[in-house]
Amino acid sequence: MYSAAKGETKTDERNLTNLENNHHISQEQFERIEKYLSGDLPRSEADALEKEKAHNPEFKAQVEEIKLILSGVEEFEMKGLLEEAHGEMVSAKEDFKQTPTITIWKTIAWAASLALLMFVSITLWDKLFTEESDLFAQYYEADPGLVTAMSSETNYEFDRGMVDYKSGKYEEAIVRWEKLIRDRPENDTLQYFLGSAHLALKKTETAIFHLNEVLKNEDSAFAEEALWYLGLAYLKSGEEEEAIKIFRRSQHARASEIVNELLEK
Amino acid sequence: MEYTSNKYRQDEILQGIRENHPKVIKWLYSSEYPKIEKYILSNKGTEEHAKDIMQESMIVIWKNIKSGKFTIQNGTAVQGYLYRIAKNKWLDHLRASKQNMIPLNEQIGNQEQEESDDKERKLQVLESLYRSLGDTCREILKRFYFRKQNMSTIAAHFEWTEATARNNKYRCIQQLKEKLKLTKEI
Repeated sequence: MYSAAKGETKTDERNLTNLENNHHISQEQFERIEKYLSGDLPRSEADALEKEKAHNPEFKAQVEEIKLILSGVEEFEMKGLLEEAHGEMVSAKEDFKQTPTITIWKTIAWAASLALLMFVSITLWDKLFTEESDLFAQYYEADPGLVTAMSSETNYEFDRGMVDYKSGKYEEAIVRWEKLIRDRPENDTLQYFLGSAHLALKKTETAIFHLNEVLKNEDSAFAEEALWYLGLAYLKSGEEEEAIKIFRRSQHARASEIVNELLEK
Repeated sequence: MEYTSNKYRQDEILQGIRENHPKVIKWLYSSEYPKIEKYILSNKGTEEHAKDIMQESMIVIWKNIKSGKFTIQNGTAVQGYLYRIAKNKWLDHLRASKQNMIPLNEQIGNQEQEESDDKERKLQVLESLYRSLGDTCREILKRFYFRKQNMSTIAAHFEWTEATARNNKYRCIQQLKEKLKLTKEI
């Protein structure tokens, strides 16, 4: 197809046409070259093709171009696979990194919260169902107070305090009586009702003090009541051991009952 | 880790690489990367460098195994070969950056080098053109030329006849050729 003499228009035209045609290859031709490149052409056909390559530079160029394209495609896909491999490796590493660490922390957190939950519920359970105050509430009934005319001391201030006490105004009663007790600390009535008023206000520490004062006098008319309420005061303040000791001394109808309840805990 | 170093024999690895077997290639990649990354990181490199060197080295051993330049008889395992390639590539890189990138035409070039560079450039252009092909074309060409699946498998995947598959393959190649032609005219 080449002409030895350059510059011939006819040849140039042919060359141009060939160049244009260089990119338009038939499917048949393409598949033939493809087979050749993959080594799937029978020997005789392969030889023929090689001859054609040697004699036809355009054809040779076509074969080279297809070779470049096909090997290029293979390489591009290989690169893609390597990218994929890298991506998968990275995410596998991350999963691996996360899983044991996260599992360990999750387990620790879970165990810790479980332990906490158990502790809290046990404590709460204990408080809710076997609370001293609950037991206290079951057994405590505030002393109703004295009928004013029955007080051993005709004392206006004391009576007024008693009026307050009986109407539930324990703070007011305490204020009145504490004025009196300064001058008469040995007065067991005062001590008893101060103790009683404080206990009604759940002020167990002061109640305990006053009730103990009452018990210093064994002959006190209020000894039995004081003992009972002292037991309840200890119970309310959480001193169960003391409470049990006191209740054991008590002759109160429900003393042994409450002792049993306390011992069962 | 799912993979252990002893998952494949040497001959299995070579065969897998020759056949472009994704499983073998991915396994080799993930089992050898840590060692190479470690080397590069402890030699003034970054993770980005490690990734690039790893992938370039994989391409090198892939080509050499296919061409027969590397065989089992070489005495060294594929893994060792890969590591050596990666190490050399990295050392070349360090040396090149030390020299502050002497321009290509000042380097001692030869015909072979220039032809190789020329081919590299062509391939780079071709790669971007290839990526601009549609998904179907790339899937067809991937299956034919990379996974080397047979005609009936490929036709079945796309639910075509074999003739249609063949025809579509041809058309995709034509597309690529046309795009290549257009770049040459620019």
